[in-house]
Amino acid sequence: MKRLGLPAVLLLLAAPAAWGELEIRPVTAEQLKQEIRAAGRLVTVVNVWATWCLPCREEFPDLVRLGKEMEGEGSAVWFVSADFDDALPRVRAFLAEQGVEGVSYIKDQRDMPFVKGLAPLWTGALPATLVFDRQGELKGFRQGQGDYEIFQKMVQEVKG
Amino acid sequence: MNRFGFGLVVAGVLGVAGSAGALQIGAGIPAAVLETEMRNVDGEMLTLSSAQDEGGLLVVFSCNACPWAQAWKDRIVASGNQLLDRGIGVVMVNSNDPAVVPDDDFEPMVAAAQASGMRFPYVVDADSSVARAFGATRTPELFLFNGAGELVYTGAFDDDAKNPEAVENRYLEAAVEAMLAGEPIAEPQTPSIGCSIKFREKA
Repeated sequence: MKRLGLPAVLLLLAAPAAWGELEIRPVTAEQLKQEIRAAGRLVTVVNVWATWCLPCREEFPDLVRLGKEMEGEGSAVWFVSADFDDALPRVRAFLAEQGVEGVSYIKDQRDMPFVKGLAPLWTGALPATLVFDRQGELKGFRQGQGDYEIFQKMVQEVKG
Repeated sequence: MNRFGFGLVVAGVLGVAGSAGALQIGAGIPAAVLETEMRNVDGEMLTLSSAQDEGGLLVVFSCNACPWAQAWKDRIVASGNQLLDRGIGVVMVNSNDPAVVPDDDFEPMVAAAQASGMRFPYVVDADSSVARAFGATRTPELFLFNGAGELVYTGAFDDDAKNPEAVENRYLEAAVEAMLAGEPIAEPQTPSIGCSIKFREKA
């Protein structure tokens, strides 16, 4: 994927998508963690997925549900597609079909720095679900398919 | 670390992946599966023990349908064929449950092997026990053992699945050259995005 220049990134940050509009931002691991810290949410769940990944697609609705339920308490579920850049139309279509609104993300970095930068224990297998606290510290990690109860428990463990 | 520390996190991972944890650098080929017979695409049965050569053994967990396996396929096949000529055994292992991924059934494996030009075996891990014993989690995932049967490299083929011309680090090739020269391997473990292995249920 072609990297967005700094002015373009600033423009994206300065003009977030209107409610209901879907915006897909290219990110590196470090950029994502910066956004998590900047947002300062109680809990941020990050799910790395891909359109071709069956377990990712199967667990996706549970994460969307969890994200909607957590909105009120200032927590969120963010999705990061690991698809190749030529799959962007499919990524957009799937997110829209799943009812994801606002900002979503797509990996814009080589695999190793991206994987290591997000979770040291992650091998890169999809799906992966990471739970960050308000300070942007990784507090929960799951590699492989989960479901609503599992994700909810991961969040509760971080909230304490 | 809070009570959702990495120990529990790892336990959670194991519960899903069915893996015994990744094989560590320096470890041998897991004894529990060294003599496990696996059906090759030529119909013959094969073991990892028999696939070893004097220079070592490359085990590639892969499959037919995963886009990442597809993207790297030509490079892995070309490199694997070359390794055979250098005295390193090569075997590609498909551990996916064809009940979950029909494209990973035996007949599609035969067709994929024939189309690819691979000269090394492509075998069925019939109960996914080999992937479990290795702690493999994704496709493609490579494990390179030296002539003494010790794991010297595990991870990706190179650092850009999609664009071969953009590759900056040829991890496997660098590992092979270092291994054959008796030198340390700069990047012995490289995570990479891949499809999770669709483990078969334990009998």
